[in-house]
Amino acid sequence: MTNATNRTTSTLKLTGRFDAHETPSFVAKVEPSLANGKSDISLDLGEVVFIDSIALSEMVSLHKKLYDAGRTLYLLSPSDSVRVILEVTGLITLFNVVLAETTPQPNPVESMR
Amino acid sequence: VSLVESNVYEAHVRDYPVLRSELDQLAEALMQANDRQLRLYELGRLNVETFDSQATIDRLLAMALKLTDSSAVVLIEPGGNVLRERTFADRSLVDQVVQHGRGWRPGGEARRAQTVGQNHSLQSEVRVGEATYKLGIGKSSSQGYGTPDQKMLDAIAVAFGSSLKLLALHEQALSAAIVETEHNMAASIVASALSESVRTFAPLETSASTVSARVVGGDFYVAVAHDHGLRFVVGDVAGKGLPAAVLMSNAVTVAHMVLRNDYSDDPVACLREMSRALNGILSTSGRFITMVVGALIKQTDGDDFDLRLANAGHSPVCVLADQDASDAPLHFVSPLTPPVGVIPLRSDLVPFEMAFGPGSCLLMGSDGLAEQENPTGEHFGLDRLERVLRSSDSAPVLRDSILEAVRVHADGTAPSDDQTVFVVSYPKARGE
Repeated sequence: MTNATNRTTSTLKLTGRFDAHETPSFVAKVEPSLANGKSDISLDLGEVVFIDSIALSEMVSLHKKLYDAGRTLYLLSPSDSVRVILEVTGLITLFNVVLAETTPQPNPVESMR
Repeated sequence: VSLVESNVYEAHVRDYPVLRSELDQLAEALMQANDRQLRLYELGRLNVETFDSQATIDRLLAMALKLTDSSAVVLIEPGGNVLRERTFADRSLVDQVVQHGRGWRPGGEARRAQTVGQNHSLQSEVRVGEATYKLGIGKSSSQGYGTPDQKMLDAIAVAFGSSLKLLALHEQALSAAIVETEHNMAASIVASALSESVRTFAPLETSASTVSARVVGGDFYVAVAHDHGLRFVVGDVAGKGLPAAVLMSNAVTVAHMVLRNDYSDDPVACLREMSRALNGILSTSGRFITMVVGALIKQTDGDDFDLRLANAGHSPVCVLADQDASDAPLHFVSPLTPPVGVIPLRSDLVPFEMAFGPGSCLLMGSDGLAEQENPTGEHFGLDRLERVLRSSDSAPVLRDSILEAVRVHADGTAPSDDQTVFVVSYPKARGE
């Protein structure tokens, strides 16, 4: 798990399994970016081989917090296994999914409020 | 001591001052050795009489004060914070012990013993696993700490470390016991919520079962028969253990109420009611529930049923129109909406609908089926699930076949999540 910050977006790269064992570490890593009150957050999921419902819950929770603060969560280049889970759960319509080689754009359709 | 004070001693050494001096030193050394023996004996009697960590630390600090004739003792955490202190001295002495302890490192340049005016401090280290605490003592006296005091403080520090390790082990055992209790409680909540047998509506067959993971999850199912068909909810609360079990129990209660309403042949209306009832608790707990709500309604002008499903992020949900036809398509029912608890349901949701006639089969499982790994990390997957689905017809046989196929695939690998199978089949009449 690595963290990089530019002027407007903090990017967190996740690798391997993203499950209940990893979520405490994920929450700790993302907390500074969440607390800075300014930047959007991107999660690079290109090298995640498995994601479970606890990890999805954390991502939903992070999305809600950012959305309520007028900020955005981007999911960058999700691996096939992550993309399939996002599709079968319908969560792909909630998140701002950014495929490789495209620029993050806010999702204009979904509303959390 | 009695020898030194006796007349015999006086009579023999009166005329030999050098000998007298050496004997005095010997007597003093014997007294100190005896004193140290008594103190070490007292230290050896030290045991943990309470598993209250604060009380144990206080007791150890009091012991350190008494055994070293000190008037201040301080325990400093690895990060430099003062964990606990005990003193009969003024603040300047305590401050000196703390500053000295923070600056002292075993094997470093700072000396273990320090004197500032009449104030003396002495440090030792307390090892608890990988962590190193500092144990410092202080006194105001004309005489500073010597080598015997250092050895005594080291002995106390070792006793300190042993007691703190014992406390840590006790806390670990306590945590394990709490986890075990929570697990048992969660398992009993799950068993209670799923204890009601799954209802059916002839000629439909229903069968359901859950294989719990080591830490139980939040899988659930409810089926209610009514005068013209069957209504059901199959779901999975995100997460495991007691929190998931409590939320699951709530969901089961809500499902039983919702499925008995007049509007309940409309799965979207049921899903909306479930969502309305559960959103508050789900939002508070930061969880969500994947669920599929369905109804099988007997057609008035034939033997078929109308199958209606509203899927909120649940998987797998699949329907086979004819189990005997090898080319019959298997419909994987896509989600209409994300799981309950994530967002309010849109107003324009349209349920999945298809005819459900003889030979049809509906499977609603949980993600623990497809995600079951074998020893090489390969998932069971949906393709294997489809093969089993096409191979059996009656609901109970199909349920057992699926769970057995997953178990064989696992080849001893423990399930990481609950595995739930809920099957509804419409058996063909004999000769059909």
